[in-house]
Amino acid sequence: MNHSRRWWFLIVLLIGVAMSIFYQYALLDYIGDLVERGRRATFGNLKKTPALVPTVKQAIFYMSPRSEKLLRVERDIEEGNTSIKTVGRTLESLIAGPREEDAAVPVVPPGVKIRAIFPGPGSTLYVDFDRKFREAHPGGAWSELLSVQAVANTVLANYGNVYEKVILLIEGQQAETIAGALTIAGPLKFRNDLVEAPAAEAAPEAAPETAAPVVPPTPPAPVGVPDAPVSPAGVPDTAGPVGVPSKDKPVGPVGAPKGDR
Amino acid sequence: MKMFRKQFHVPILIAASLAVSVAVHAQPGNGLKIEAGGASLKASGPTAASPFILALDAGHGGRDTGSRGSGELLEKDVTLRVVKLLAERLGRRPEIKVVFTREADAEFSAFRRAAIANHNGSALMLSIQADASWRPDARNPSLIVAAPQRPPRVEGEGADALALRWQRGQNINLAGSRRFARGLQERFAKLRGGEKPPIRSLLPRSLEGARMPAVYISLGVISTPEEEARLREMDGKSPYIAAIEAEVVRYAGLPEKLPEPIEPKALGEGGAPSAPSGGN
Repeated sequence: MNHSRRWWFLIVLLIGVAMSIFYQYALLDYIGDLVERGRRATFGNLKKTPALVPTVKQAIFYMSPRSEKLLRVERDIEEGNTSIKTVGRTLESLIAGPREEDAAVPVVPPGVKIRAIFPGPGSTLYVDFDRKFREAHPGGAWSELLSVQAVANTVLANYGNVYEKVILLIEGQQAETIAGALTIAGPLKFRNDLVEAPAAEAAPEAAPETAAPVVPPTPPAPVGVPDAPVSPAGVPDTAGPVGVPSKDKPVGPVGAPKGDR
Repeated sequence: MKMFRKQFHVPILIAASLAVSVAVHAQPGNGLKIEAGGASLKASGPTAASPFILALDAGHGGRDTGSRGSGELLEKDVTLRVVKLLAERLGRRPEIKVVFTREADAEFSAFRRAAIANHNGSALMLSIQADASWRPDARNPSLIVAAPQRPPRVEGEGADALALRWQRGQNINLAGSRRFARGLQERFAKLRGGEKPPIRSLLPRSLEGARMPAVYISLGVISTPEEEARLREMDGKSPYIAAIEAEVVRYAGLPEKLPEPIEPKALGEGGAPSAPSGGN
């Protein structure tokens, strides 16, 4: 009897060893995940082990310090278990602002909270911010435009194959304006005309040993999104070539009566 | 006879609509001039009896302070002060009548502002604003004209109703808005050593619904300390205010050089002072 118990113990032990060898990675992951969760709960977001937290390269649009345009920056973002979660983390990175090495200017008020992100019909993604987006915004029509387009471009540059439009909500309501100067008249599309041309284009002969540019040489256009769509929030700056003939003509219904004068 | 009527139906309609269009567009200040077959038809310019009506919109107001400078200068105060100074300068000309969308520190919706301008039959609307930027070193004035809008068609709505929709008020006035903006751009450029302020095509809230040429004038970036100081010091002699005045006068079709102090100089030098342009 004693002898057979010993055999049973040995068999269970062997099975246990075999299973732990077979499932060692899953087991390690599981334990690592438990430890990571415990650590986060206790100490907050400390430095993460890259092996435990898979990341994905995401384009984020801050403001350029050199021009009145957006600047594309690439950042490793912790991948969520759904694309919506990854979008959320990417937008949190946008809100947190650029790092020193990005050489960019923040374009969304710091401390803004994302209340929800959810997909809607017609390849639309809704992003709902809290009221701080409005309250902490410095104002000005162009600044408002850059803020809303930074959100839209950040989403659509990374998920242009899934979403075509972004609708901004503030406290659950569709935002018609941010600080009162600009009307946001509908879903936002990707706007390349608001993005500063990468530095690599300006200096094609750059020495190869220079530090890797933060900005990629060619920003990949999102799938299914035209290069320079006319967003409802505005059309390209006409400061440069004043007098471009096609833009000078009134686009509206010509001859419509000026009735209510 | 029936054949004759049918045959000339379309040309007669075109001629009639052209005549109506001329009548509608030939308002004081538009400076409309049509030349056909050697004869020229001119709309009369603004006079004291039939003045050029300018709607001046001081951005923000009341609880809506607009942008704020680091020295606590508020956009709503700058805009109201500039509008009053501009009105004071323009008030020297009896051919120009100024209509305010707000005259005190009060909050009005963009719709109400546009309604005031529309109701008074304004020939031009200027929305005076100041900008703010994320960049700490941003500067320069800028000009905005409304971007063309295509609001979705409501089911069963006719084309004429669609054309008159509130959101499309600026579509039919884009040419006039751009003409004014370009003129002002040149004048501002002269003040800034040739550096032209941008003319942007956006959807500013303050121009929405206005059914006349309208331009959003940002006088500077209030969030930049130097610009804030410049905006704070703006007074009646500010070259920017003078530039806006001069462009309004040109747009209205009035002679730019009005005898500054109306009293002695003009009468002494060139005989009678230039008459308020009968034809422009």
